[in-house]
Amino acid sequence: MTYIIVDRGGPRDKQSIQLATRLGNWIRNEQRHERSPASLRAAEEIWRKALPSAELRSSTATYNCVGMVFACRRTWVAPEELELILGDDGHRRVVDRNAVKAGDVVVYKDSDNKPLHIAVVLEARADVRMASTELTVLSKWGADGEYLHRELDVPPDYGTTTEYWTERKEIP
Amino acid sequence: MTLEEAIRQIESSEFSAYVNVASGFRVFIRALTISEPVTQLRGLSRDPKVINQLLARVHYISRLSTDPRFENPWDTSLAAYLLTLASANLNAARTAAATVASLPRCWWAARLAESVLAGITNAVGSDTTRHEPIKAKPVPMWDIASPRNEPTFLYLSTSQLPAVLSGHLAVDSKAANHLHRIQLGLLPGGRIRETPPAWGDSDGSTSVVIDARGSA
Repeated sequence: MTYIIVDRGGPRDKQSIQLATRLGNWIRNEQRHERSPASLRAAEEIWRKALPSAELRSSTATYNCVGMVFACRRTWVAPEELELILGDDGHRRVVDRNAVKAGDVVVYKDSDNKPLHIAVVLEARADVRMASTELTVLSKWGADGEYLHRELDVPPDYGTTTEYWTERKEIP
Repeated sequence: MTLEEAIRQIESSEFSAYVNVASGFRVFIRALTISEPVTQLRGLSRDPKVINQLLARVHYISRLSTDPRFENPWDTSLAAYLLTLASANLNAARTAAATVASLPRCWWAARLAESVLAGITNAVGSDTTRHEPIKAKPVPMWDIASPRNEPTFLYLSTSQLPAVLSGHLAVDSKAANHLHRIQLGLLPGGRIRETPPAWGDSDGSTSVVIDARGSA
């Protein structure tokens, strides 16, 4: 007997939880099973060696980067949902990297401009010597760990093309 | 790299960690595709014997018991085998996908199996989380509804199957000659739901069971 899940991640999928944008549009999501402790430990070991500057905050597979940022770590949300979320939630692009502030988000994209990953900016520190800004971010690496890391200290799958978004409001 | 070495690497926790860093299906497929053991396995799979060995491996793994508290530990390995089979022999891939789709607590492998079963053979670079608009003509629910609100059996071509399942799946026209037996449970006032019912076995070798509800 072969089963195919219909409407994966949608409102009728029992693996999904109620999750919507500010405008009320459903955000497709699925709650993923936890990986075994041995598997999580192996992931931790691999990334500790590959990217030693990244600091592990938490090890779990039950949510991903988008789930961390927009679903309070409750579920897994595919990066393809980001366009909907950012638009519906009133985020705007920050073109000047030096204007990025803590709380803004970094979206990592591929060469086709499709989102691969997202991180939350924890600290934006001006580097006077380099006339630039150094960003420290927090992000969830797929089904591996949640890490504090420098903006571009990420697994190679996430690429190096980034853009910045904010939902900051100013008093009119 | 020998077949045994490729399999050993694909079933290692290191491989699982590397490809599990993907945030979405598209990234996962890309990571899988460019990984060294999968690249090697694709080359080896030009030999029909290797296809059979991979199929046997999938069936062997599918019979192993796993801890119900956690995700299936073979998830990424099964996905790697499915992807390799899909690029080498579609019939073998469909057989393996039918096995994988019935396994509990798979994540990536389940998505890939669904893509293969739905006839989306060019899964590389695609994403099934949000389905694209159909190429196949959708089958209106009233065409397959039973007036008696009872399970019924239908024979549909592969080209119709994905459309029935979700209303918006793309399908590979090359696979359109295969017939599938579909068991439909028709309950009043609903649409397709996600959980297949326990209405007994259907006897098609590549059967797909869905729970459809009669449309208004």
